[in-house]
Amino acid sequence: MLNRRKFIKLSAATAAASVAMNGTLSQARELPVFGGKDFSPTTGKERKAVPSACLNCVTRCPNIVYVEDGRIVKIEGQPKSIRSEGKMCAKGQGGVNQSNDPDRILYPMKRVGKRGEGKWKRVSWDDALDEVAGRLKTLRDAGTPEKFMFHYGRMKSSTSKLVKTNFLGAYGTKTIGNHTSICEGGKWTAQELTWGKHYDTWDFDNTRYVLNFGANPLEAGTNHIPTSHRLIRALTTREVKMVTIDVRLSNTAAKSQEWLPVRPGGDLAVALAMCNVVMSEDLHKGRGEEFLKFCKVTDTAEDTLENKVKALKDNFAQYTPEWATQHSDVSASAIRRIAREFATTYPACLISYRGAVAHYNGNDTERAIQTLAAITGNIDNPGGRCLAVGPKWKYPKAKGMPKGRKLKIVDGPKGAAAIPSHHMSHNVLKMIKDGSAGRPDIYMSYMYTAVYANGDVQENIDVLKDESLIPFSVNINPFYDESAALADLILPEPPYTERWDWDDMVSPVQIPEYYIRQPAIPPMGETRDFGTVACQLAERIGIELPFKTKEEFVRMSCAKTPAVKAVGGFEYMKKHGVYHDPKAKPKYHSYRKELKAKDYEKATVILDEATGTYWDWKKAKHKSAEAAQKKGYTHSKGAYKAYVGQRIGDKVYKGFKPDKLNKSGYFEIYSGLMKEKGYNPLPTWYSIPEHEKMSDNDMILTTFKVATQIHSRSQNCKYLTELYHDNPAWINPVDAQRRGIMEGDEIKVKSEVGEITIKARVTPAVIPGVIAISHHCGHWQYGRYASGNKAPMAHDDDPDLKRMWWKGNHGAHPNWIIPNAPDPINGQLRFMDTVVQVIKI
Amino acid sequence: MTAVIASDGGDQAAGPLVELNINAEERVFLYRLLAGIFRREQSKERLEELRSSQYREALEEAGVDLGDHFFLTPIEELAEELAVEFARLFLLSPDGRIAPYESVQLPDGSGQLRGPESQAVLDYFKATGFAYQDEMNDMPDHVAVELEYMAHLVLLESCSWVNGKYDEALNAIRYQNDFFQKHLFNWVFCFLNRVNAKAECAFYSVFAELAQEFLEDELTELPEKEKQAEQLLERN
Repeated sequence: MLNRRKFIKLSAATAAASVAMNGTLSQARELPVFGGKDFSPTTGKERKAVPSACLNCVTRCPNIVYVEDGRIVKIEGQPKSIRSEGKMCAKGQGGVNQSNDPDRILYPMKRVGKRGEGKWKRVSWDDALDEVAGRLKTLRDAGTPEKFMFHYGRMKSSTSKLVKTNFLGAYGTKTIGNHTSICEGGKWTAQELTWGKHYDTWDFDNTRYVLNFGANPLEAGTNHIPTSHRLIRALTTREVKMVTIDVRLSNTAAKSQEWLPVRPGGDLAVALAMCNVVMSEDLHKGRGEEFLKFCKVTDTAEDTLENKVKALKDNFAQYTPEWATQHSDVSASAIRRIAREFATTYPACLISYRGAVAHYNGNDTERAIQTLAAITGNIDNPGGRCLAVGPKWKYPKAKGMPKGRKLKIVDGPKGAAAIPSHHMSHNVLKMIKDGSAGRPDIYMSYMYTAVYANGDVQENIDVLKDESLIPFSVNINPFYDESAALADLILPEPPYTERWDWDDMVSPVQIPEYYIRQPAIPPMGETRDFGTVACQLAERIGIELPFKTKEEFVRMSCAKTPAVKAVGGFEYMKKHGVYHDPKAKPKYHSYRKELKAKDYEKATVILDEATGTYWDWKKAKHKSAEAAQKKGYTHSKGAYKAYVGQRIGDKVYKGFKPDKLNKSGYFEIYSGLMKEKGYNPLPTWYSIPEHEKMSDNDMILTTFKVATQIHSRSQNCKYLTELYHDNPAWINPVDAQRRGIMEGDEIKVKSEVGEITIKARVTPAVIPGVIAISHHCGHWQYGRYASGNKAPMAHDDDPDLKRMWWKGNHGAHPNWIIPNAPDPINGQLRFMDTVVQVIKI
Repeated sequence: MTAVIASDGGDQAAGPLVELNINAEERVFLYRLLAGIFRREQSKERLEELRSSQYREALEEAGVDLGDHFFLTPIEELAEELAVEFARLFLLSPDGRIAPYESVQLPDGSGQLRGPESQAVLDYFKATGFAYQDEMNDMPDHVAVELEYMAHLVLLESCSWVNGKYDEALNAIRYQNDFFQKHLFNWVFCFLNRVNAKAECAFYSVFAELAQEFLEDELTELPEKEKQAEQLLERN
């Protein structure tokens, strides 16, 4: 500031003179308060700004919702958020349409015709709750709470803790299905096998190189905007190099310096070959070598570096770049060059997603990718692939939870997947049809349109329609989507802009951010937050919960969470929406933390010699240390919850804490759990069986997402659907010419489970042999903007309904032809493997 | 929030406050001066003022050397010479003028006169309660108008300090920072470099350099000022 002193006289002279510019600007009104203010462009009236949080996609960015005359009119990013830095994607801004959708369900509705026929009557909340609670109570009183199945999708944070942990926990059912296996559950399982927790954060702010296997962070992803805007910044302002390996020229591939087109499922071959290059050329030396201290690479709990390096060299020796070319179509020279660049540029960030992992061999693709990051020292380091950091909310819990019971229908058929740690949601309906593991009497679905979002749509419809398979079906929904249409009772929920929540998505800057969602306007009609409905059901059943509403749950959580309480708790969060500790330092290398002797020399903590893991036998529910020693850490059910630390040499480290699986505290390149299931413990090549048997005429179907739509819950948003409502199938000119297909032609795409008709987009942006169809489109319900079909009890007060120029042009849904086939290791739905035939109509 | 500074010096904020305020006052006039230089041709009256002994001394102290030619050339001749140079630089030139507009100069921008950037700047003015009325019917994203806008914001800050309204001062600083980051910063240095490179008269190259130095200083100081003001507000 003081270097300005030399200007003092000059400014003083200017003040006295008339050399300054004559004004063109005049102040008409007071300067508004910076940020969080908006004004109607027509009336100039100030709009109410409500700090809240998005829930259009899983990223759940903090936002600011603007309200004018009681109506939500605009949504923007939250400038105070360290995650989004005020940025908001189209999907988040398009959320403004959720509240104002003319096809919203505003009252509880009960089916009066046949299931799926579309005949409904309005019922009161009392009647609806009495009916559901009565049926639930009957099951519970009969000692069969497991016959109540709850199937959820985008249920996160406080809603999950209230509904799942408290309500369902206190009720006693564990027949709870999620939806992760149709997202990226396979990636998470592979991460649980290697570094324990699931979820990787990509530190684009500090990286110098990005290597991307099948991720599309500029258009979609579980932490979309917080990472995408940082990636753009890295690419443009620091000229960081990005290389994308993908079957399709996604917008992320297009913004990369290099796009390496790859055959579906060939990502694994490329990743293995890159490991080969790193190990055979000794590029692991240095940081990679240092990191190996924390890795398990052989079956010995503590092996020498020499043995570890030898094991890696031996395992990857067979996977030469020339070998990989045969399985991936990526040239050996490119594999070698990129592997060298990646290994010699530090820090470098290795990213991956569904394009690489939603395959038959997806589990080992992710394990090989983890390994490549590990042997180059790019794990949990600034600029690398990091363990996720999120806020730790505390919340109230019901007392005296019963031991839950469950029907074994959420992990798919016996033997279909070896380690389905995120379940197999796409096979739940198939399991109900099968019936051998029992069937639920009550099927309740929430924020999950299983019928649309799973593969093999026709089978889903058949099961959900069949009253002999599912006697009573309840759907909680703000909208009349494909699942609601097949329910017996619809409980209307307000969209996220009218709900309470605390939220906890991970942070790309390795500092936790606390934030809440609050209603910008009161819930419309008679809609009720499902969290509150769960409390009301509990009360009717006779279950005591320590809160009566979702708002109360959020308020109590704010009071229980030390970081939030310290700054003012619920009132602070209502006012500001977000909070992070300004003094917090980014969390890296957490595995290196040495434990103090008092942490692992407790009476209940023992060392498992086989793995070098310290664990608490009491927490693992063993009766004695001896019993625990006898059974061993690896084979004690739920022992991961009792993990304490990892012995390495003469020290005990925090290590890579397990979650869901009984792995050690090492970063397990060598997985004993995989070995026990009959798989190679080190990352290994698996070819895709169906692809091995393809005829000359066959093609492979791949799927993708676009920047302006969420997988299946945004097509009722008119702003977004105006932008993207049709999804022609991408086909390479070579394949098109061979079949006589021209741009815009109608084509038939057929698989073993069905066929669809779709328009063709002839483009070299997809590799020959592959046809690419996006998700999002082809709804047959979800209101007029999504499908052209009006919801029962919809209203016509939206003038844009008359301006809907895309009516009758709603695209096609690829899931009709995708079988519900799982990755045999983790159960992930293989969205990118389906063999199809393509013909011109 | 309104804070009153204790006259006995007991207010911890008084030291930094005085500095922030003096600093704001200086910046108002510098923004205005620079806006005046780039807005239009210099009139004889304005040139006379710039050649006054008071101004010459101030310019020299600020390290600005306009050279003997500026001070010794007959005023009418100088005005004519600078008007021709102004036209060559900013209005019409056989080898391409340097259009002084954000919409034209913004790297990777529209490159169009009256491009979307012009509207964005006008929207910004309106959203913050300013009316734009230009007798020359020029664009709101003219460098001089953007500099004038900054002067307005800094003046609001300065007045708020004087009146003890720390929250309003902080608010004005936040807008300065925001506008600077969203608009001026993104193109003005590129523009000033081009002026400096193309100018044949020392007058424009010297003021381009002065502007560059001052605005570079703003770039680093504005976030600092915001922090300082936030701390002041917290303490009071």
